[in-house]
Order: sequence, then structure tokens, then C-alpha cells
Amino acid sequence: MRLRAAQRVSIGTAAALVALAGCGGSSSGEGAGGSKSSDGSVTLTWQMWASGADEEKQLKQLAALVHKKHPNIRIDLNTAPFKDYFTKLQTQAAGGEQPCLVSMQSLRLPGFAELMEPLDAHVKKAGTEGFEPAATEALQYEGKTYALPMDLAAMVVYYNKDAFAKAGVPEPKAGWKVADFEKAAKSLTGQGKKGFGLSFSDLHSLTMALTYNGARPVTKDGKPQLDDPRMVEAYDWYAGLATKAKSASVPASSSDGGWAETQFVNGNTAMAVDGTWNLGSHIGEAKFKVGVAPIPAGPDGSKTYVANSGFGMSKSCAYKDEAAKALAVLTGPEAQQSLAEQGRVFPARTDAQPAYEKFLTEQNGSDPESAETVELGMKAVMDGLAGGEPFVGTENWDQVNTLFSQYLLEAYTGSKSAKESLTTIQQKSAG
Amino acid sequence: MSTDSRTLARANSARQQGSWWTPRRVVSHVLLVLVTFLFLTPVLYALATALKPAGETFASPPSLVGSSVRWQNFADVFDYLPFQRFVVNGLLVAVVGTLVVLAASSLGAYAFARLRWRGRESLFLLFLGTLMVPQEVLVVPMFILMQEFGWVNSYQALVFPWAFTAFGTFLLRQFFRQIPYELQEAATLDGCSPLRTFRSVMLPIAKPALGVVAVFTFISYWNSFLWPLIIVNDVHDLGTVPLGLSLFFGQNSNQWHLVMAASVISLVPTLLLLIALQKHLVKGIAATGLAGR
Amino acid sequence: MAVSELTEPNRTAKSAPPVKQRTGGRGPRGRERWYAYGFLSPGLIGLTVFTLFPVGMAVVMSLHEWPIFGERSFLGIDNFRHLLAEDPTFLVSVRNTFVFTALFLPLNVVLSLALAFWIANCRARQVFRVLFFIPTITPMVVSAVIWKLLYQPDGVFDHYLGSWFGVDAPNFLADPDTAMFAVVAMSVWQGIGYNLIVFSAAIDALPTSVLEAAEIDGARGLVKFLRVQLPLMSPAVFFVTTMTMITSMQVFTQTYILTKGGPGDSTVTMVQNVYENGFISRDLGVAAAGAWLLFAVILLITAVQFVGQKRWVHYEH
Repeated sequence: MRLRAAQRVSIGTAAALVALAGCGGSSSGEGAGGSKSSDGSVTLTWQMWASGADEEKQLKQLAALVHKKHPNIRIDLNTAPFKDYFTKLQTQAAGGEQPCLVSMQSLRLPGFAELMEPLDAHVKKAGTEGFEPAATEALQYEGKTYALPMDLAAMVVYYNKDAFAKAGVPEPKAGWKVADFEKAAKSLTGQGKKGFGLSFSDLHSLTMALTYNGARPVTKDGKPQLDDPRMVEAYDWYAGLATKAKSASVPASSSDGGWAETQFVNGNTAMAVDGTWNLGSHIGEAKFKVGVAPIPAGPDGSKTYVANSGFGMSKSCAYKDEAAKALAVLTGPEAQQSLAEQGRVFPARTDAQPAYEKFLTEQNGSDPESAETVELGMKAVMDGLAGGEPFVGTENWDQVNTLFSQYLLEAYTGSKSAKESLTTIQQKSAG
Repeated sequence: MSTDSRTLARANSARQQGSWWTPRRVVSHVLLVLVTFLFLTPVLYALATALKPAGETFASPPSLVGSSVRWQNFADVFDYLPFQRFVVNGLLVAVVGTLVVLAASSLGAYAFARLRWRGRESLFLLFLGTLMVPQEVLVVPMFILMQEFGWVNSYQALVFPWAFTAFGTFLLRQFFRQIPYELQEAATLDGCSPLRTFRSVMLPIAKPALGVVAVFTFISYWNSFLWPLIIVNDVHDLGTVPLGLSLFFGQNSNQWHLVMAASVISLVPTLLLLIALQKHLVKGIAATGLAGR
Repeated sequence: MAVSELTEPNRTAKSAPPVKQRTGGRGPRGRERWYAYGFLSPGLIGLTVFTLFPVGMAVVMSLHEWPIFGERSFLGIDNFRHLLAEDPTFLVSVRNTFVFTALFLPLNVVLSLALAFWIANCRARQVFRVLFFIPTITPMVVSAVIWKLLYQPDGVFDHYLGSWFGVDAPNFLADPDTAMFAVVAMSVWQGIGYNLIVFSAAIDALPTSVLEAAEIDGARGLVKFLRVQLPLMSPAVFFVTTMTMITSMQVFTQTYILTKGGPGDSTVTMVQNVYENGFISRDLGVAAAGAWLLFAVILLITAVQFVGQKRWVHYEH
């Protein structure tokens, strides 16, 4: 009885608060995620991540492109730092405020799909043509398309050419096997350097598991199966690169998400698995010559996940027709060409890919050796994309990632077995 | 206690003051400098890293100096981002916020410390309680509130929401309680209203304490991250310094050398404020009656 | 009674209000009340507008299943029960938070007190105060990355322990046995500046007459410190321990940025639990419930501190 009274009061208060919360942003002329002015032109809010001023400028160019094509549409670009973009997006969603145009990563899509409008009804078939098929596929969830792709990335092995030469180890090339990888890692270890760096980031470590024995962390119907026997076997091997073979460096703490890449660029490890998105920055930043090779082949050949980002619209958007038009321009040939030329992304549109290669070649100087690196890099990328499969996580993938960083570290340092770690992760993420 | 021993003690202390450089003092000072240096090693290391080229921040084994010394990094910060914009935004928000906190908390503290009214103690407890609720859980309701006000993506949303916590009120209340009642009585007898007493008697005496509140408030505004992240839509336009720093971490690569350089730059305003207020600061805390006069 | 205990630490102080004057009904007293409301109004309006609504909503949230997006439903106290009875991570986070506070609080207070006495003899003590304050104002991302470079295998500590003493350093942040200590060490380094300034000020304000009298009575060194100086400074010590306790029970940034709660759950704190429930598992109801449990714990400890102060804090001499 008393509980019921408390319940009534509480629901009453909650209803009042929610009502108060619900009417945000609905003053005159404003619809959710944008606004309409008296002359009928519509301004759409576009939320995107950007780091330096250059990146913001590139996005502004895209926004201007939309206005040029559709003079009645303006884009109000909002940018946030990449690493905090999704925290911000979901806090805004909690307050019922969402931008019309939402930028989304394929990895995060399952967790955000319920906020987003399926595009199938809004974008005609022609709108999805011209993209690398894997790029559009990666942005689908449960059979529906939620975003049009901006870029496309696969995982590759970056390696330190100088270190390989010094150790007299043949450089990896297409067709190399997991055993070759292990051997190279071993020979390149010594004098304070390690052959390889372990990672607990999803794409970086799961790609190696996939190629090693086809282990998959998620069932076909989207349930976590992190303690699947194949997963255990694969992570046993992966952790063993550090604990048994002593040829891989281990992240120094659970907060070192980018350990493997950072150690590689700083010359402390000779190989790293990383995304093709870092082709430009790794070659540019490293003080040594960088080589690129496909992921080493396991029993079923070289396997990699592909992932990407794209633009979609929020369910609550009040101007869906305008948003669909804007999306078509933001991912259209001209926009893709512009992003590729500036080296911002490996473009999702096949037509724009040569422009990206040209950017890389110019960035790295025209001497034959650099040109060869770029060429081989692009080939590794293309191979990866051809054989890659889109990574689909669970709805609570962010949580799984956090658990990875906390518990896989224990397996990597050898204080727990891979089986124990994965079982804990499974329990906590399913519970 | 005999007169002799007093004289002796005075002589003793005079001797101590006269011979500043006793061996013990020298050792103590040398050790102190050494400890300070060790204590500041991480900061010096950050400074050294700010001068390294890209891709050397994490080189192993660790070294203080990179392959070249790049003062250029400090200029590159401003090429990479309009970092001055974040500094200006941060200063604006922190200064206005500090003024609001000073005004509201000094008035409130005076009422809590010196005026008699019913419900004073329980209301103060309510004020104190606000220090104990973690911000992480208030962020979403606060965001909803800002939507109601139409304040999303505005300076006022950066300034006001967290300006009314108890820290300043608590500190100033302690201070006002230490001021002799006689002063206040005299002012009242002279016919001053409480407002007048507050303005011309209390506030001038309270200056040092206000200085303490100012520094601590300024720092907490200057370093705040979670709230600006959520309430600012256009980081490049309205971002504060911590948001600006996180813009050096891109989707693809992290500009560590620039992060370090930008951080050194961001230290400057707070450091200047601290040095400027140093004298007041120390007097201030002493004056809050915490030092057990 | 209890309330006035809590909020009037200085009741017995020298400048306590004189005995109440009978002012008779309304008159000046009534006017004073209205002035009080006037003085309070900016703070009170601010508090009402900006804090009561969020706090009230957080209370409501804690009684609901409140996903960040999606349907909400009333649960009663289920969120609290879930945390206390069903969620092992929460209890671990409570333990970790207490461990952190139990290490950080005494270390911070003792070290900053010792340091304050040390620099007190120094003509340049203002310079030292600023220098020791620098870590406090250094951006957290930078402090964290530098400390990681110190801690990591082949890092600075490992390197020098190895080459000077031939000792292998532990893998500080990746070993569950050392991770919390490593976080505490960094936090003490980072937070000592605040308390140093408070203590430093307290020492400057010690009455010289009393100190001299004590010296004449033969008090020297440790005796002088324990019998004379420390009691005189006890209000400052009390203020520092109370504020440091409140902030260290809410520790989050240091652990999150250094260890992200790992390895395993060895450094997950209560506020990290709140944050992850809210923003990673996206359950604002459970997050709010956790925050209220934390609030209750802090309030309880603060109350005990305020009640206990009578025995050791001297407001008069």
C-alpha cells in the first residue's frame, strides 16, 4: 500500500519531468534536428567528429556542397572530438535532442540503430550505387541500411622495413602465413625491441583471431559468444605471443587502447596490426620506412574485418526529405573526390580511390621506394577489402570493449588464462 | 618561568635568526631543492616531450631529448587548431564564472554566518550536500534543463549550472565567523544596514578569503571537461581548453607532441593567476580561521 | 542538535556570537530575517534552478528503469537491490574506493603536512608553494601519459631500478597487486598542492608567543610538534581531512585515465561504476542509484568526522 503511494508520487513526478523534458526545441519554426525559415528553406543540423582545423574545413566544404546543389537546404555543422563523440551523441539523445544528420561508425551502429531512421525508403537504389559493396554492407544492421558510407577500411600489418633489413628477415608479402608471422616476430625481438604489439581493441585483436582459426565473438543473431571454444583457442595463441613466445609487447595498462600502433610508430615494435585508415599518418610520422602487408593467412587464407563510417539521419528528424537529399550530396561523387584528394579518408566510392592513392604518393615523395610502399599499401588495402567481412558487434558493444580492456590485459600478462578472461567478459556482457 | 630563561630564549631565537646558514639548514635546503626537482620531474618530462618531433613521445628506452628540439611545436599548435580561441573561451567562462561564484557565495555565506534566521542550519546542510553528489549523474538532467532554457551551446550554459555549489559558501562562512562581532556591532550602531555592513566592513576584510575561492573556482572552471563536452555543440567555436586538447586526438592518429605543447601553453594563465594571488592566497586560508589562531 | 553539531564546527570559537539579545518580537530581528533572505536569494535561486531539478530528477531516475533512450518504467528500489545484491562489480568498486581513500587520505595529509613544515623554514617558501602546486593545474591527460611512461615496463622506474639496483620493477599498472598503489602514488603527487597551501598557511599563522613559551618549557622537535603545533593546527587538519575525504571517495579521473579500472576490476571505483552504468551500459537508473549510495556513504563518514572532531580539534587555545 505504502509502496503504491510512493509509486504514484514517483510516476507523477517522473511524468512531469519527462513532459518538461519532452518539449525541448519545439519553439516556432524549429523542428527536431533542424529549423525552417519563413522563405521555406531548411537548416539541418549535422553532427560529426573532427580533430584539427583542417578536418573541420573539409567538412564545411561538404556542407557548402549541399547548399550549392540544393539552395533551399543549409547545413549547420556541429563537430566534437572523435574520442568523445559517442558519449555526447547519447547524452543528447537522452535529452531528446538529436541532430538531423548523424555520423555513425559501423562498429557502433548496433548500439545506435534504434535512434536512426532506416534509409531504404528514403534513398533510391541509385543512391547506393558506385560504392565498394563492403562499404554499404557494413552500415546495414538487421537487413536495413542506416547510413551511406564515407570511407572503408580493412586491417593490415604495418611493418618496420629498416628493422626487417637489419635483422635479415624477409619482408612479409601477400600470401604469408601465420607461421611466417610468428617466426618474423621472434627474429625481430631483441635489444629492448619486440617483434609485435598486442592490442585489446576490437578490430585489432579480433582480426587476428579471425584469421587464426575463424573465431567470431558474436553469433549470427547478434548474441555475444566471447567464450566460444574457438575464441579461447585464438586468444590463447594471441596472448601466447607475449607470454610464451616472448615476442610481443603487452599494453602497459587497461587504458592503453592504442598501444600496439603507438609502440610501432615510435619504433619499439617491428610489426603492428592496424587499420588502413592510418596509412597516411603512419608513413608520415614514423622515423623509419614503413611497409604494409595483408593480414597473415590462417587455415582459410588471409582474413580481415572491414569497418567504416557514414552518414545517416535520426528517427526524430523533422525534415527527412531534405535530409535524404543532403545525405546524397555528402556521400556523392564530388564529396568523395574532395575527401580523397585531401587524404581525409580512403573513399567508399570506387571512382574516388585513385585520388587517394595520388594523395599518398604526393605525401610520401616521388622516389621509387616510397612510391612502391604506397603501391603495395594500396594493394594490401584492396586485397583486404576484397576478402574482408563487415564487423557486426552486439548492441552493448561499448561495454564489451571496456571489458576487453580490463580483462584481456590479464590474459596478456599471463596472470589469468585466456579462457578465464573470456569467460568473465562473456558473463559480464551477457548479464 | 624566570626572567633569565625568557632572556635566554630570546637570545636563542636571535642566534637562530642571525646564523641563517647553519650546516643543518644548508643540508635541509639542498635536500628540499632535490626533492622539489624530483617532484617536478614529470612536469619537466612533459615540457621536454613538448619539444620532441612527432612519433617520439613513446620511444623506448625513455629519453629526455628527442632527435631534434622543436620549438616549432608551440607554433604548430596554433596552425593545427585555433587554440587561442579555446584559451579566450576558457578565460571568459572561468572569469565570469568565478565572479558569479564570488558574488553568490559571499552573500550567502554572510547570511549563514552572521544573520540570525530560522532554518539556517538545515539549509546549510543542504548546501553542503551538493558537494557529495557526483557530477556524472547530474549531467543528463542538467542537459535537459538547458534545453528548456534554450541554452544548449551557449556561454551561459558553461558558466551558470555549476556556479552554485557549496565550496565557496562553506569557505567564506568559516571566514565570516572569525571576524570579531565588535566590528559588526560598531557598524550597526553607526546606523549601517546589513547590506552596508557587508559591503564596507565584511568584504574588505574578506578579500584574502575571496582570493582563495577565486583561485580554486577558476581552476575548476578552467579544467572542467565533461560538461563542456556535452553542452557545446560547436567545439571549434565555443570549446574550452580541455575540449581543445582532446581535439589533438584524432580518429586516426594522436598528435602527442602537440598535446604536450598545448598543455604547456594552457598552464600559463593559471600559473600567472596563482603567482599573482599567492600572497592573498596564503593569508586567505590562514584568515578563514582554519589555522587555529 | 545533530544538525547544529554538523554545521557549526566553530561554535566554541572565540568569536562566537554573543548571547542572544532580546530584541522583542519583530523589530530588528524580523528585519534581519528579511535581510538574510535577501542575501541568500542569489545563491538560493541558483541552487533551486540549477541543482534541485537535476538532483530531484536523479532521485526519480534511481527508482526507474531509465535507459538513455527507449522506454522507461517504474521499478521502486530494484536498482538499489540490484547494485547491492546482484552486481558483484558494484561491491568491488565500493571496496576499491575505500582502499583508495584509506591509502590516499593519510598519505596526502601526512606528506603535505610534513612538506609544509619543511618549507616553513625557508625564505623562498612562496616559490615552493607554487612549484608544488603545478601538478594540480597540469591537464590530467598529460599527467597521466607521463606517469604511464614512468610506470611502464622499460619505462623510467623500471630502467633506473634495473640499472642502479639490479631490481626488476613490477609491471605497475598491469599487475592487479600494484595497480591501485600506482594510482594512489600518482594521485598524491597530483593533489598534494592544495593541502600544502592550506597547511602552509596554518603554520604561518601559528602564534609565535605560544611557540616561544613552549620552547622555554623545553618542548623541542617531535614533542613540540605533537604537543603544541599540531593541536594548534587541528582545525586546518580537520578541514583538510574532511575535504580530502569527500573528494577521494569520488575518485574517478585518475583511475580511469591511468588504468580504466583494470587489470580486471582491480581499480574500478564507485564513480567509474556510476559513469559506466550511465554512459556505457546506458542505464541511467542504475547509475543514479549508485550515485545515491555513494552520497549516503560520504554523508555518513562526514557526519562521523563532524561528531568525532570534538575529541581532537581545538578551536581555542
